Amino acid sequence: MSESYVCPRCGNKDPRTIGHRNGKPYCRLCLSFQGKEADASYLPKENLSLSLTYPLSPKQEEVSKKVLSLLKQRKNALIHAVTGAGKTELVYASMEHYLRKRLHVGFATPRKDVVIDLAPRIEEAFPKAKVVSVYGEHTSLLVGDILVLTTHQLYRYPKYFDLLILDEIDAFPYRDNQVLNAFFYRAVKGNYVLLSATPSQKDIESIEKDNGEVVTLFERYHHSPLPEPKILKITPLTGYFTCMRELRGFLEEGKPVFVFVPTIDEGKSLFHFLSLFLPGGGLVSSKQEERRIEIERFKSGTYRYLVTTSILERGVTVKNLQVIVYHADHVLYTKAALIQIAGRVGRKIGATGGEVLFLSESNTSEEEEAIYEIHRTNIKAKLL
Amino acid sequence: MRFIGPTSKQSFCKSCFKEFRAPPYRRIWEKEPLICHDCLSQLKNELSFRKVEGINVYFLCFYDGIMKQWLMNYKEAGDSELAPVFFSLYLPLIHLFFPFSLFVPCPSSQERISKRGFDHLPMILEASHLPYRAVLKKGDKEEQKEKKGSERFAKKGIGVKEEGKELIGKRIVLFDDVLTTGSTFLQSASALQGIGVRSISGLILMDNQKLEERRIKGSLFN
Repeated sequence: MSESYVCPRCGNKDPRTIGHRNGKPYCRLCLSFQGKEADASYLPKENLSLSLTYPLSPKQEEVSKKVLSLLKQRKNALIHAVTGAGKTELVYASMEHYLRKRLHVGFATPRKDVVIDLAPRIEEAFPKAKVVSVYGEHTSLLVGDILVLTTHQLYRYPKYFDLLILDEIDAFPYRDNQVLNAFFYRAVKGNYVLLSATPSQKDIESIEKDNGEVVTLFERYHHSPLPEPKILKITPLTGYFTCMRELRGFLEEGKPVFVFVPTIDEGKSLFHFLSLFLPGGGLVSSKQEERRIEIERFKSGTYRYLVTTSILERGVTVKNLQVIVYHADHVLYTKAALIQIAGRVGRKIGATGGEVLFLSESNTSEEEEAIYEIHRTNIKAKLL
Repeated sequence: MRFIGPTSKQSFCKSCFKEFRAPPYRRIWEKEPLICHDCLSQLKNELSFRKVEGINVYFLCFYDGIMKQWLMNYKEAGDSELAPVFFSLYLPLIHLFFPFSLFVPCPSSQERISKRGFDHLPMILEASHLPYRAVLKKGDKEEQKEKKGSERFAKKGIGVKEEGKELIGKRIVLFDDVLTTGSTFLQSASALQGIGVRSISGLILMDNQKLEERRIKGSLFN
């Protein structure tokens, strides 16, 4: 009977998502994940080693060693490291350990943008390794010494990875997605390492139940504290003007700015308004395919500020960036999202200060908890 | 403008699996609403008639949006549960424009039917309870999509089965999922005209006919 059908690939049991074809049941949730599977017999090159051109901070070294020792004990790890801590570098030593043994190493992330950004960095760190990136519409090559892929592509690698690293466990679309989660765990043959700046209580509990430990890193590699956001009260009538005023202030100091908006529509309105008074701005959202060009323009200085949706909430590093969050009290801004946004500021040495402004009509608990957690993190890292 | 209240029925969307409430007007229009409001808003409706070499064809959508996604999941991934979804929003219009008619699906090759596990066009008609007769057959073995543009115009060997005689003197609506060059569609129409049906109209899920094609097929100024 269909009531007891369990999908062998993703573990789905919900009868509402189970269809019938010629009388036989099939899982509708993971149906779109169809395609070639990778050849598990691939053997990485010999003598692959890490070649890092810059040193890790003492705290980074500590965490890196701790994670490696957990993996040697065949345990899993969750690295809770703050935004800008240099999370990727924390797993390099572990990756080298597995590569030396010619085992399968993979680095997964929910977003394609991040895969594209990350692959060259990993190539630099492991110059002799064949680093292969796998993401939507770029799947002609599925095997390599180190694989960098989106969580979506993991369905091609059942029980493949001896070491599988997952970055940004709470990012869309991975977060709360049963099918992507199922494919992740199915892809792990050996052990896994999860990376996040904002793990939930549930994340921490599940790794502790799954033969794993949490390792923390509360300071950024440059030892300066995380910028603590300030809340600025706005009213429905004055919001745009307040935003414009603050933005102008930063621009006059020659600092680049991100203005975050909760929705694409609000972004269009606000951008239209701001560009009347302040030229040299751009607008980005997930809807634009050419957003990489817009972001490049911002990084090169052609744009002085960018109005953006949550697409730029994670991963991006821009020197001397300032951040304004318009409508920080919007229901879409969870504590984790606000912490990630605030984490865009102060990431580079020499520009570790910076301001984060939450423009809101009424303070939400998410805003207050985000600020409190950032503050507490700074205290725990003994930076305040 | 959502009239959601105690008379709304709780259902779950066949497309995105989310739960949604269907207000009374949707239950009147659709009998059993299958798709949530968010997914419906991603349909790129065309909803107009156009003559394709003399045949009056009704196009439901453009070859874009969520309908394209549904067709891909249905045909390529084999998600046969989607069969009732294609016409679910349009059924009253179809009954209105094509009364007293028999629907005839354009043919698929036997090879593709066995590869897929089901005949996708008749299944859509069946799931929407429209009266149909699958009397067209296709003798071709090659995959239509892999051919170059010019090859698509080549003959596909479309003919009418023996039981097609039943259709003599009847009003026929020829049904296909996507119309690009119109080659399949027109050859099917030709075969039906050959046996002496009363009239032929067309019903197409998605319009993929380019402007240049429409000039050639005489429907540009329509």
